[in-house]
Amino acid sequence: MSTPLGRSTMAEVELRGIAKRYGAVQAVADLDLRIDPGQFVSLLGPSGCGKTTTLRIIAGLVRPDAGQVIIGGRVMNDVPVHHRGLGLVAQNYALFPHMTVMENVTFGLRMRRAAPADIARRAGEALEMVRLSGLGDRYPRQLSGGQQQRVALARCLLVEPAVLLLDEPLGALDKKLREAMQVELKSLQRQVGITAIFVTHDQEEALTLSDRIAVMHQGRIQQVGAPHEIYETPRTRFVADFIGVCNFLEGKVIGRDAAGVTIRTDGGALVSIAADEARALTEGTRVVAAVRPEKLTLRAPGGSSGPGLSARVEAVVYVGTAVHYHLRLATGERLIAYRQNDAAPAVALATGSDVVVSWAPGTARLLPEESG
Amino acid sequence: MPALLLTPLLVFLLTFFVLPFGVILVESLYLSPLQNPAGVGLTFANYAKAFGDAFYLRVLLQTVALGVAVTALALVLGYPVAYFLARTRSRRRHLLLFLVISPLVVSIVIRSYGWMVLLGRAGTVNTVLLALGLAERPLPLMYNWFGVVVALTHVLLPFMILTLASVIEGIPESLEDTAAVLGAGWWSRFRHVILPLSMEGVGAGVTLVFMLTIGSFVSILLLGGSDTLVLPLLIYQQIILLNNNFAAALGMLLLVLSLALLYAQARLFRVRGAA
Amino acid sequence: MILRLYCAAVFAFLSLPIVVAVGVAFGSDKIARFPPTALSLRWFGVALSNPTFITALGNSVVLATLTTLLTVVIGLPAATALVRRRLPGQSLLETFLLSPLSLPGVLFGVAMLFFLGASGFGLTGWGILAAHVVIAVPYVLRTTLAVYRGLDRGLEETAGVLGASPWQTFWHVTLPLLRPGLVAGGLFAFLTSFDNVPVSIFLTTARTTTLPVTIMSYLVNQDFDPIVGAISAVQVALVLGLLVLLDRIYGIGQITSLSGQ
Repeated sequence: MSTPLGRSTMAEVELRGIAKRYGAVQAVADLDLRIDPGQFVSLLGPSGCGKTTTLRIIAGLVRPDAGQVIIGGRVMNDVPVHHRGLGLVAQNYALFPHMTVMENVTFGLRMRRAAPADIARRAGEALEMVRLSGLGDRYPRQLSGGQQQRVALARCLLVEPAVLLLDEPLGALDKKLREAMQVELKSLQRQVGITAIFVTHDQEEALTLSDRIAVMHQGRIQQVGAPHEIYETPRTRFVADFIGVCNFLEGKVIGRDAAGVTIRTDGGALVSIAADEARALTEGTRVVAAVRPEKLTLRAPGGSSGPGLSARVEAVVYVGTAVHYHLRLATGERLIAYRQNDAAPAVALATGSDVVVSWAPGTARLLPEESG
Repeated sequence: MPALLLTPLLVFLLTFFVLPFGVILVESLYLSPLQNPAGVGLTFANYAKAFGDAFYLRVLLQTVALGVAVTALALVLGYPVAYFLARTRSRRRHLLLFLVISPLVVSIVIRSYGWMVLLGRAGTVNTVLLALGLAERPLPLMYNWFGVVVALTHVLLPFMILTLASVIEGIPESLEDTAAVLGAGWWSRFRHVILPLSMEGVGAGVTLVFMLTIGSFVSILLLGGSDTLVLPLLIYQQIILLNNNFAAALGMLLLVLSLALLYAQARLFRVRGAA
Repeated sequence: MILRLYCAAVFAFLSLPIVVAVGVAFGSDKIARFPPTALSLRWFGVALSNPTFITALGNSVVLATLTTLLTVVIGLPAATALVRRRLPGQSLLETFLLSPLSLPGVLFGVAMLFFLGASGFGLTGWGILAAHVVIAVPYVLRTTLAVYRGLDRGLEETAGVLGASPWQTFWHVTLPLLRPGLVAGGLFAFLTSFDNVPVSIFLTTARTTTLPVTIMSYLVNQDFDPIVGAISAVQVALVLGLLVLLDRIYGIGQITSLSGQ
């Protein structure tokens, strides 16, 4: 795909067995990841999970203790930073304060001694692409946060990097601007077709922007997948908990049949989960049943229709688009249920009322119990 | 790579800073041919002389006493100014900082000259005193301890003020406001809030000024008299008298004292911004 | 408020001797008097026609300029090395490198005197230059370190990622941003050399005399001629001018975090 910035610059990125230790802390441990050309991948996790360290290892700013960084099929471990041909946008944009916008943007090309006429032309195009034409003579301090961010982007794109690295670049912006920039960033990435690795702790942002998300925790990747995969089929408790809101029922496997697995929760309730994965779940194994609040249905007690857990409504929170019900099961566990505000009256159940909670088969997940 | 970059400076300092002091050390351990017809080698005789003779001990004592006096004066006189400087709003502050720093960039001989014109027998102060009838004859304000203390306090006051101001700036004004609301008058606020929280700065300032005072030489030479003898001046005199070895021993004494204070200062004041 | 009056008094005290020294130069009297009874510029004329004074002024300016250049050339790489990576014994090393600032000048002057004699270098202008560089280089180190440590590390990193080699990064990004610190340090170095007495007094000869040492010799001989005032006035004008320049480039506010040591 040809762009105003020149030839296509997609490259795939592969990390094999990357590890990095700082003193007593293992920042990154045995990390494997493959990113296809042109993909937008987010490294998502809480602070301290190793996502920024991983990004800096890819950039060459940090040397890994073990493992290989392979970009475009070439092993980059011994390649110095300035020869890797990547682009980096940091949270504070790192615009050179003593240079004008134009000088900032053309920095990479000037360092490579490109022809001046060429530089001027391409710089003009780049500025147009990020809608900053005419601001070439300004200094960074004269620009707004959003404008500075776009200058940082243009500066990266002009060197036609194989991969674009972004370290929480939208963190300093306020909510509205942030959302606008998310859209712009994504469309720019699509347009140029560049491979992008995006570090963030904001799961909503990751879900919005990414083709794939790698959820990280304590130096390891817990799960990689498309946003809906991560959300609907989390593989660990951490992932289920970090993305969105989730209910957890801890218990022990007490039976297994063709349809699924029966669990006795710690509170004593009996729950059936459709176990779609062929997993060796012996009786007595401790597991966690995870179900999202929007998947729960509430009905009045008494009468029919199948299995369910008795509960009492402890609190009702009205948030406009939905109503959140905070429930306590008869067996003591707590659950949250969301009900879409699509019928009148909005609030169907009062605090203190008894309900029966259930969910459709297949909407609950079985997760291994996490140690610690 | 860092080693390479540091090398020029390190080599330069080693040659022109460490080595010279090494030479002093060596010189201090020998006796001059005149005193030493027997040709004795390394000896501590110079040090023995320095510590053994009451005269030299007195000089040492005077040096320390001067240090204490000037430091105390600088502290008491400078503290209020430091507080004012730390609490003042920006526009005026710039000018005030300028006023505090400018004496420091003017050569010490010029400042001494100014004092000599002021404090001399026919100087400005005496002229004014006589004219106002506050004295019958000119007061001896120079060539004695008085002149020395005035001149040194003048030289060292900015150092004390800047050190203290820097620390007081770090004490949030809200603490004083809270104390005031709770009923503390200015003295109580000073005694219970500002002073305790500024002790680190006081320690640093005191160490700095003391160290600079005992190393002072020019002001005392110019404004002092025959009885205002301190260690640096003694060293100078001994050089003039060509008693190089003894001067070297005295120099080593001063060096040890200064290094001890330097060490104390480095521990006391963690420099803001650097390291 | 009392505090204001008191501070005004202290500020007046701090400026007093300098005002007096300069004021004497504008007097028409034969002896130094402040305030002068009548104003005149004749002492400047006397000073300017005094060969010792002219030589001393020239020597001082040349010496201070060379000192400044040398301190920057030696000090900048050293500051770079200290900032980049945490070296073993770093704080001890830094204390050592900054120590000439705190040790008594008279000590160092004597040390250099012995050293130049013993080593055969002799009392030359180069010897004085070396001594001045030793006492001035800590200033350059200090200001450069302060500015360098305040820089956003991300700027150098980003330059590297964008393809600038370490040398290109230093030249195009780091150095321009360090410039205020270097200039400030250089100005301090100039002032230190230009003003210095305790070290210079041991090392200068009639041929290599400096301006402050010349003034010193007048005073030691109890000669308070207003010519000294005129010489002083020239010096004061120069150094205050440089201080204003220093303020413009670096900002005096920054200096407090430096002079407080």
